[in-house]
Amino acid sequence: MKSKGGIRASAIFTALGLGMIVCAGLKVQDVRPIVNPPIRDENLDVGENNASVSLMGQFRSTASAWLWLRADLYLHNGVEMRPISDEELNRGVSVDNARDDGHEKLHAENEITSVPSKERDFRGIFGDVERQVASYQDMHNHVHNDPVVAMPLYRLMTWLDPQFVQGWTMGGMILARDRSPDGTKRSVDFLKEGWKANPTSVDIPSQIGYTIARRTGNLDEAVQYLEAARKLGRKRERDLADQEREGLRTAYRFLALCYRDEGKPELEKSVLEEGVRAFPDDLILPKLLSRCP
Amino acid sequence: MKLDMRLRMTKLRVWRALARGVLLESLRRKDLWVVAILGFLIICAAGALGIFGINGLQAFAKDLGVTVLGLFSTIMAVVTSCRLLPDEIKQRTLYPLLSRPISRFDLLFGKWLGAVLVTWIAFLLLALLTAGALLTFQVTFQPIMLQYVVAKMMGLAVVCAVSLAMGTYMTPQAAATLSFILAFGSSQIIRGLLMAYDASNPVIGWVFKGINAILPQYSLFDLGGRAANTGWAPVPMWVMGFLLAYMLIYCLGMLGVSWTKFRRQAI
Repeated sequence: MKSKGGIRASAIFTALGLGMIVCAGLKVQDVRPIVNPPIRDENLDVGENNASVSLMGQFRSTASAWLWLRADLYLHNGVEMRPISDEELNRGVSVDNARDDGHEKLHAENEITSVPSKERDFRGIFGDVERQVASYQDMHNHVHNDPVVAMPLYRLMTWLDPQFVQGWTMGGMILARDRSPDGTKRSVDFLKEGWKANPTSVDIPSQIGYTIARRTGNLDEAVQYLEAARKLGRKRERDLADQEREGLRTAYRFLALCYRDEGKPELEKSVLEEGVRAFPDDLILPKLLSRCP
Repeated sequence: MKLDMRLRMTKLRVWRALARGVLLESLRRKDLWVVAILGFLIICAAGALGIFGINGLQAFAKDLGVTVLGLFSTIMAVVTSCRLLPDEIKQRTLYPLLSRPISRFDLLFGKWLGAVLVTWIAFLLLALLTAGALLTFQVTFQPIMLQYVVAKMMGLAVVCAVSLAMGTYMTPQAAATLSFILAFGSSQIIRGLLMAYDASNPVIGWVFKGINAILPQYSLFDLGGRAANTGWAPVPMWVMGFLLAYMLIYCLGMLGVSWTKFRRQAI
């Protein structure tokens, strides 16, 4: 009798425990949007929309993030850089800025070398030896390797993680450095492939339109892409991250210029007005608007 | 004089025999099978790289090669060294060894020598496999690659000494965990100290200096960054000399730490 009662009690506790686990599991789904907000395609932090919770998705994001960092490393010929901290800036540590070699826009330059210079190093001979064995050099006014060396990595990272928008746009930018018609075509084709994988991206169609307008002068075709970017931007206005917002800003600017060159002042004006409303802090859009007939 | 010479020869023979024992034990345990599996992984990775075409990926391939080499050889060094003494004690195979006329320091030194030998063999095998895979893709090597191999071997000797010392003070599992943390995390800890140093007060600054002096400076033995990228000159010979001296001092220090515990250990 006792044992029967014991069994019954333990069964009840087990059922209760299981019930609590199930409830907690269901509740976790409600918490997920808070602790793990909707994924921003263009960022490395979380990964991809469809497979963000799968191990494969995480692996792909991690691998593409790692490749992204390696690409940055090869641009600096192996010299490891890191973002400078606010504290270091306040202390007067100078940023290892890049020379104007045409590649400086390929990455953020508010950086210093990970291996510190002699002045920033308390380690004495250990520091001296590390500066000899590591790929270290004084990076003030540094130049970059030709970004073409990193292009295969962008190809690899977008293959591994097709939702990594930054990989597509950076790859497109690198391909467009070849100013021949063939280079432009390869860049646009690469970006189109990226857009196919990321149909809600604003940055990619914006860059396609920008590249076509600048390189081929085919404004009609460019307008199609820039208008698509504008439309997507309006639709996703609230969840646009920095990179995508920049894409939208570029779309407004170039769309207005395209309409101006096509002799469509009304369309130009409406685009600029919308652009100023979306980016009240922008310096170029109001100027363009003031010149609009 | 003759006696001294004979004593030295005897010691050499003892160390050689002990090192040979570690090597044979490693073969018996099929540790080198792990190397073979890791080597197979390298070949597979190289094959996957070949799918994308190696054109333009030379630096990446070399970078990947040195990263994988560093990772796998460190794992071998830690796993081989951590269990040397605890296993001998557990399996009671230490008694017949200690019943012979050899000191406990000789035993430690011979074991360390064996661990270094096993690790170096594994490293060189993996290096050959990696080099072969890279050469298939016409990746070229510069003279600094030779310095990379030599420096890495010295670094692995330090990893073995640290892991062996950990193994004398704790269980093999705990020793392996701590050794891995040091092997893969010490450079990050040092970077953290460097970043925090300027903002700290003088007392804390001295603490940071102390921590930096005690921590094994594994990153100094890694020339992978230079070897993988192009246009880096070989490092000066004084640097290689410094690394050799640091390796000897640190290894002797770690063996001393192990001996301090082991000589009084009741078995």
